[in-house]
Amino acid sequence: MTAAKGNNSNIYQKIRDTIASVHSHVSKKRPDEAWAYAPGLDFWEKRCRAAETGEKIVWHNFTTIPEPFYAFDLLPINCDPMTAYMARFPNIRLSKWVDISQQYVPDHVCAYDKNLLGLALSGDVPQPAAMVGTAGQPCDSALTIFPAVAEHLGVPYYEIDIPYWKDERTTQYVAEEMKGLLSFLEVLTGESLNMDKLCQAIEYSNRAHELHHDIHLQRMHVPCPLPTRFLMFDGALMNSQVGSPDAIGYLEKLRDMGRNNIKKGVGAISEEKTRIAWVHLPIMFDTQIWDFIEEAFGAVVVQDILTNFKYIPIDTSSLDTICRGLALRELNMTMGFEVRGPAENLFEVAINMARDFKVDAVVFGGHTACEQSWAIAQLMKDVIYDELGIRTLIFDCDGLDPRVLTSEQLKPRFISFLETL
Amino acid sequence: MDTLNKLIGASNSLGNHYIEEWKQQGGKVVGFFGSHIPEEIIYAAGLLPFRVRPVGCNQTREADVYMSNVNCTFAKCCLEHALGDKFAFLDGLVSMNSCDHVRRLYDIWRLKSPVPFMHFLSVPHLTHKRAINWYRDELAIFRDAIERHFEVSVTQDNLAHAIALYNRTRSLLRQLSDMLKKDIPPITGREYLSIVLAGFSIPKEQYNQLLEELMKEIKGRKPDVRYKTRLLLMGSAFDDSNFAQVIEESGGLIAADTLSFGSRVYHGILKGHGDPIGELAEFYLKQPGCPRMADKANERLDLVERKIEEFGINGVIYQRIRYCNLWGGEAFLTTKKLEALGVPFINLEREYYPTALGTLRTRIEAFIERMSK
Amino acid sequence: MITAGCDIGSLTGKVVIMEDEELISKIIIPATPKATQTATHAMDLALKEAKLDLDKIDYILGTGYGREKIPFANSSVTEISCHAMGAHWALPTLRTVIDIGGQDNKVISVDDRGKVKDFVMNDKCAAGAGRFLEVMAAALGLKLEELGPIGLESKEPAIITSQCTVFAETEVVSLIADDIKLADIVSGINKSVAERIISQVKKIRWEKDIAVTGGVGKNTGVVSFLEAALEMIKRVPVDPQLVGAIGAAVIAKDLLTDGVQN
Repeated sequence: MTAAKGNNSNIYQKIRDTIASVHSHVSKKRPDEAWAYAPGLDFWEKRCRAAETGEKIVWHNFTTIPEPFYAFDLLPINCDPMTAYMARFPNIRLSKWVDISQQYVPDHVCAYDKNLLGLALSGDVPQPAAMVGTAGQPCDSALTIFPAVAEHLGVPYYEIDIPYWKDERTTQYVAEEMKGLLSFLEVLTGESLNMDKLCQAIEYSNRAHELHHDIHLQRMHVPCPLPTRFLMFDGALMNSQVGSPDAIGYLEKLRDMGRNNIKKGVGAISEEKTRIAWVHLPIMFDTQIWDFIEEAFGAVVVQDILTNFKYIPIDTSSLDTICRGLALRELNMTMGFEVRGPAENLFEVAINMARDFKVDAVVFGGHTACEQSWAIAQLMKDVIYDELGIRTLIFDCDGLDPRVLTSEQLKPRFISFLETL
Repeated sequence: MDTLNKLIGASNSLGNHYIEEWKQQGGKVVGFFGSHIPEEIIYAAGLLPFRVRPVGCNQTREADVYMSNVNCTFAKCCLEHALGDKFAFLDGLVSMNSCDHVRRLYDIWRLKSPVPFMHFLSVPHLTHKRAINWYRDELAIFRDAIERHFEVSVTQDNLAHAIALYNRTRSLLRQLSDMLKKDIPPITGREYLSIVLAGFSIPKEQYNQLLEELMKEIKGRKPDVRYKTRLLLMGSAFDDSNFAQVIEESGGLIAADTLSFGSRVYHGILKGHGDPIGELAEFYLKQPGCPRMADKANERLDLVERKIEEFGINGVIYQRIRYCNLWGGEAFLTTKKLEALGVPFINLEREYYPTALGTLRTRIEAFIERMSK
Repeated sequence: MITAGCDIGSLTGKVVIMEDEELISKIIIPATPKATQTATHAMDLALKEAKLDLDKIDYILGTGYGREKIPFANSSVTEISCHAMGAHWALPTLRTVIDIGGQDNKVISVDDRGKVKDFVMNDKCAAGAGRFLEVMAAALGLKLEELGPIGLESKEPAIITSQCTVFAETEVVSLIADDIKLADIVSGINKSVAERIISQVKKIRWEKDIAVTGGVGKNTGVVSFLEAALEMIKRVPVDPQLVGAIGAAVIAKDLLTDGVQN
């Protein structure tokens, strides 16, 4: 059992403080975009104050849906977006914790998980009350590291088992796993499941998903009415804050922005020349790479894999319908569905993304550790070309660790590709 | 030691004359992966189960067209062989979601060089009741698919017979492995691992006979295996007798292992009646040792501790294939455990094919020297 | 119209000057760590050879690893486009170009106008590039240019399984210790590079005619293994190392005729 260090300048506070300073900067320079930072700031503010408020924090992995936690007044932290923030902010970065973890695990383990392991070993974050993960998605790194971290910290752990398939039998199995999760949370909190709270969390989440679906459809418009960089916010939000009311204001504003631009017939950038589907994780350590290709080539990333949610409203009539709905959301999680199951899952998503969003090119790259995707990248490239006549740029880098490939080394790959499109 | 040589020979080649005879007599062969797929179902269908190993692969030129430079060489070598028709003798293939690399291997294999019968099992990562029931259903679907494709019947009796046969194998292999507990064992660890490997491609009736003969020969053998230290070998897919030789020539007896190509094959005995499919589901799901099982980390650590105790182990070789994230992640708790037990260990990264045996040898020799002091 | 292409790579710097797409001067020099220095020196030599002053050149296009550091270039384009165009200029029937440079390799599929249709690139590690051969040559005490002819003497190439240059060097050293014939070791090294390339080629919809450019294209051993797998490898009728610079000079002419300001 590892006790956390005192709360002096822990990582939650560092993230909160950095977001606050970015928010403050943006409020002055681009005041019409400051609202985009509000949900993130609010999220981390709440986590920083959890020790005072007595609210329990639960760490969960990327492909665990957050709604059940909100139903029990818990504060979930999706560990991957936490790591993404740390990677993105030059004053934090990941090297310290990745290096700590590499005393135990090899470098090829995913940096998202290495960072978490390093954080747990360093004591630079307060200990969570529990952890929840999914087995079967997204990958082997998360499968081994997540429960190991919980074991090391001595905190209760629940694993949601996700089968390989996507049929009705699978949905029923995962629905039962969801019931198991709710029971686990009852034991954790010492409180029985409150159906009203659960329904409320689902209703918030349904509203968020409905708004997000509007935004999803807006991005299909030519020209794309929404800036690429908002994809980064969306990804974190939809995997962490749905189930609370905090996601809704942001999504309404984003939807309105899209709506207005479509009405005016304008795109997010002045001259959209190339539309790109980014079928992988964003490069977290350099979010400006998207700005660069916009400026240099008029190339807009209209959709990425993390924000490519399937719209699944959940029926709140009963516990059974709720658990079934949660199971379907879980099975269709972004960066879950695509990488779980047969290769055709990824092909289907990539082709639909390319087609629906009317893209000129596909980019596959962003994180070197996703060995389950890398193994079928070539197949995917061929399938996309055969089906749609669209080219795919495949490049590798560690999306979290610029020490593998720096931004400057990345740019030529894009230049070569876009130049020859 | 005629039988021992027969078995070692069978373990070192991709095909062998047992498979050739089987095929000549009209028999069919079904390849499988990992330690969670019940061979008994395949055997009960009158088919020969063949544990897929890309023996003899030393480059992955064709596989590299599809798989990337972050995929493990075991999977890439299997793919290389598949694309090069080296597994042309397979009439069927059954795989599972054992790890990211092997499941993608299956995808590419079925899309680029399909085998007449291909089936995939979704094996749970947990072992609770619901998971066992799920796996039971998966295995029933598998049995039905085999029956349809190969036009055979997998009856309760067939299954009971197969289970009894495999129980016998497990019991014999257990006896063999226990011999390595002795101070001066009659066989080396390398020989023992080769014996286990041979079993993955020999019909079990014949294999059991060979094992019985082997036992007799061993009884007649004067135990004379010398070593400096007793080691436990654990980690990624390991079927490399050259590497095992390097370890033993350096003075380290591989007295015990937790390998999937090793002692994992016999963790218990099945009853074989009642609901054999259900019993197989539970038995194979609970197969200890594979880090894909998310609720079994402590059990794996206990297994390591038990083996250390029972086999008088002085040190542990934790080897992992580069890009194996299961054994990569597992290294964290295992390291902590071994440190807590005060057992010396070495964490070795390798490729599936022994490319740099020279550097491995140096590291192993240094490790053994350290322990011998 | 006089144009120049300036290709600054990791191992060499190349400049060509063309008048109306005819070569009037060509220079290859070893690279220094400072790309600007390499570029300036190569250009000086090229101008001398052509008996021209710098201001007589209508457009200078830079390419290669150091393309952003060429002070006298009007603009730059990536080596992918330049190699495609250069190969097309040299052999209009070419449809697939394999460029094996100092630290990376590229396979480019081109159309009948010399434009890129698709490409794959491996620059993550040195295996499959000139650096691999350099390291191995040094380990064997040989000159780089000896690897081709010596390797061709072998009937049974040694097996080198390491994909990593560092480990492959260790393997080679152990092969020497095991008294494997030198020709077989060298052939194994050449084969190793060729196999990396063949995997890359099969990732694109490659078509004949196919040719090899870049420094490693001069290694007859590597090329013979490529030919064995890919059938006829056409020879580019210019020094393969110059293809990038030639392509740059040709593209420079296109840019000029498209009305780009000098």
